[in-house]
Amino acid sequence: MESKITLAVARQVAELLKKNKNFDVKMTRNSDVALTLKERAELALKNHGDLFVSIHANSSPDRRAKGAEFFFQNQLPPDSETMFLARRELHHHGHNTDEERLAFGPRHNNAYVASILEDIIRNRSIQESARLSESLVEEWDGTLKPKKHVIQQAPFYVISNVPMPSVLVELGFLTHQKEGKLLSTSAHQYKLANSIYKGILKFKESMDKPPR
Amino acid sequence: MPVWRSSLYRQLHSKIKNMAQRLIFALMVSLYVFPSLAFTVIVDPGHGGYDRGAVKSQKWNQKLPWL
Repeated sequence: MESKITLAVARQVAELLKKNKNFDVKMTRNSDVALTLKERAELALKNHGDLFVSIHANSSPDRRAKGAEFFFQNQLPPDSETMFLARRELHHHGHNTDEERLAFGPRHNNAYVASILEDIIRNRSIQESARLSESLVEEWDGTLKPKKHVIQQAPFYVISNVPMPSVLVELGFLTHQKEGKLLSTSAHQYKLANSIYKGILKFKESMDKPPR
Repeated sequence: MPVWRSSLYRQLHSKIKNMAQRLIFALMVSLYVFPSLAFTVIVDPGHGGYDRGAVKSQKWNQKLPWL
């Protein structure tokens, strides 16, 4: 169910972006096929993405849980809950946390220099991902989780293994009766897709502005 | 400077200016035309099963009759 909803929303986001000549769009999948997390990150690298948006639908054993959440790669040690989620995500896909980490950044013979360069790129990407998350939240036209939990940092594989600004959007909870129903309607899917599009647009505009 | 030489300079200057303008125009057109120069967004639709409290698809549908 999640895969159908996320695909429908992603297709609408892609359609909206394609109408704008400033954007080029690549989808990691355009049908109901399963891709590994590594394949998703590799596709982003191969297509030289400037921005990565991973779209998901949430679920919880607590049926009262509702609202959208936005995750970006963490710089600080994650809290226990997000660490648990990220480990379970990796375990489900048969990954070990650090072994499978993709290397990116300019190649250099000296390992120390290479790791410093990668660190610089990663730090810049984290800062931009935080800005991207803020833009998405500002333009969000749906239910949000309480303010404290709307934007969180987590070491999810797909957002931690790409050098470009990246965010993982949880559209809402399928396990919440009202929200789950809404998420499966095409009108609501379009509303959320439009919010994501507007958030990307806002982020791009902020990037294009010359620094003060 | 002889007259013929200054006239040659003027002609050269005008040709170079013309070529530079054409180059700038071609560059602008290619910037507009080639999508690779546009801002590339990778959209990744998640493929369920590993989110918080996720359950496998068959049980999932029984537990969430509203979907």
